[in-house]
Amino acid sequence: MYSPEEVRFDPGQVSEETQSQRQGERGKDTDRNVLWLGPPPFTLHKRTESSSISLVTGQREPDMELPNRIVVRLPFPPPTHRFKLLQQWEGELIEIKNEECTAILRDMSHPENPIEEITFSVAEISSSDISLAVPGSIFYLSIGYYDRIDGQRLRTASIRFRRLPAWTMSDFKRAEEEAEKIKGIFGLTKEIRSVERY
Amino acid sequence: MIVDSCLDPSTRAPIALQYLNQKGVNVATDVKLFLISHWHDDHISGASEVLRACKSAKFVCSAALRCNEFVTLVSRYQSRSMMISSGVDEFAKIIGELESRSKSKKVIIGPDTWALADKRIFFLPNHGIEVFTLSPSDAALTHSFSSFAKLIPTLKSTKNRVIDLYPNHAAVCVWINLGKDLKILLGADLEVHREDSFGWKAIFTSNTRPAGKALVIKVPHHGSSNSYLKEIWTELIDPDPIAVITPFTKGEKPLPTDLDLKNIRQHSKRTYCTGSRTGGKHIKRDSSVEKTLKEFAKSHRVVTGKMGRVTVTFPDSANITGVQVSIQDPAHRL
Repeated sequence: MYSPEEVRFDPGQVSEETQSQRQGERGKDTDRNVLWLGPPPFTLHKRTESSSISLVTGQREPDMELPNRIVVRLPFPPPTHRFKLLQQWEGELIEIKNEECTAILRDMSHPENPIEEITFSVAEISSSDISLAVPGSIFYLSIGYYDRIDGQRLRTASIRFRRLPAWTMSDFKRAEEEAEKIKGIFGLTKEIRSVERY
Repeated sequence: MIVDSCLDPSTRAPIALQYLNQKGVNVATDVKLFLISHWHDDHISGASEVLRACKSAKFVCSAALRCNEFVTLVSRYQSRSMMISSGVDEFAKIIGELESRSKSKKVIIGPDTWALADKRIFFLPNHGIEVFTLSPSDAALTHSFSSFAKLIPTLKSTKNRVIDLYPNHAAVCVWINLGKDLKILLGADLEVHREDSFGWKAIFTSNTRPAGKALVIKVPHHGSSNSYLKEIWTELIDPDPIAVITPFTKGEKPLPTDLDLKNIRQHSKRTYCTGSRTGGKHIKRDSSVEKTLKEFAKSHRVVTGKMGRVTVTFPDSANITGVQVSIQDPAHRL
């Protein structure tokens, strides 16, 4: 019904944007739902010198400006599994030594429970998370049932590190206001303050 | 006087306040001094609540904290919101309390005393009661500034939780004179350093520290070998002391170890421990969760169990022979 040259469309641009969106939204569920479908299947016009002929009605219509980039968001694909959470902890990695991680856990399912300590193998951390596993990093440990669409049920423990944002200059500026207040309380005059860090 | 703070695992309330309220002490007027030895979680949890309740208490903390590096650290991390809080978060709350005090009195009120080596921080002449801080030394003070600087987050680094600083040479060690012969040494988490100007060696070699030998010692740094120095026990401690150990159950090697205990017990036949050395009781959970956790983890244990209490009572400060010790489960004599 139409060919790519009939519409003003630059697949390279679209592809680039889609990639950048995926990078930008990595880790979010929505990124799986952003798909590029190629030339759009609607409002298509064959260009003439001064006007277009509608491919649907065959009528001459005034020229229209087509968008250069179109991203179509489809509804979520049907789920292939369901996860039934039984227990979840928030953990803080304390140490990584000899391929073993030591962490403290706070029970999110039962916050009244005391703090626990756990040691687990580095191999339990997924390749996408391994770079995040450093002392001080925060993760979630979840235990539950993984119900597949084919009816199979698996009992799993999964570890997912928090994608914490990076410190920005605006964070530091905000903190600086607080720091000035604390310096006043601590009686730190400018003469005895030491060198700024940034 | 209250030194350090920790929370009752079951009520999440500061244990010191619970105990004093139970004893009928009016904490708002009767607590005269509140001292924080250092900013690690196990010494500072609930400290802001203690400070709020003890309205007339003077607040004392290490002079090592009075630096731009620590202020920057606190100001940057205090906005972090996580279920697991850190000592820095609690210190930020303490600063909030000091700010409230300042507003109510319309004058800037910071920590009332910055603790330093060999400094008398409290004196009741009519009762002969004196409180001294024995650390941090000047060298430890200088060193701590650069240590804090290493913890300050840099631009574009990930907003992880601040990690604890070890070893802690800036911890405040306390010496209490309750009478002519009745002295108490609270060892905080101070450790031994190879240099004479740091840690316990600085205290031991000081000729300006208060004289005498302590009858009661809160064993430093959970009884670890890093804090053991024979000279502490021979020069600063009475030959027949009462030693109290607070166990530390986090980490690869819970403290004190059997070897640590052997070191301590050769100096003290009256050694007590405030809780279990292996952590709390196992939590009962759904069997599926328990089974999966066992498969996932190489080891797993509860680190904060029920807290016990060792109470040392002095019926007569002039006569040390009448000292009594009582314990509350799970505290025990070793």
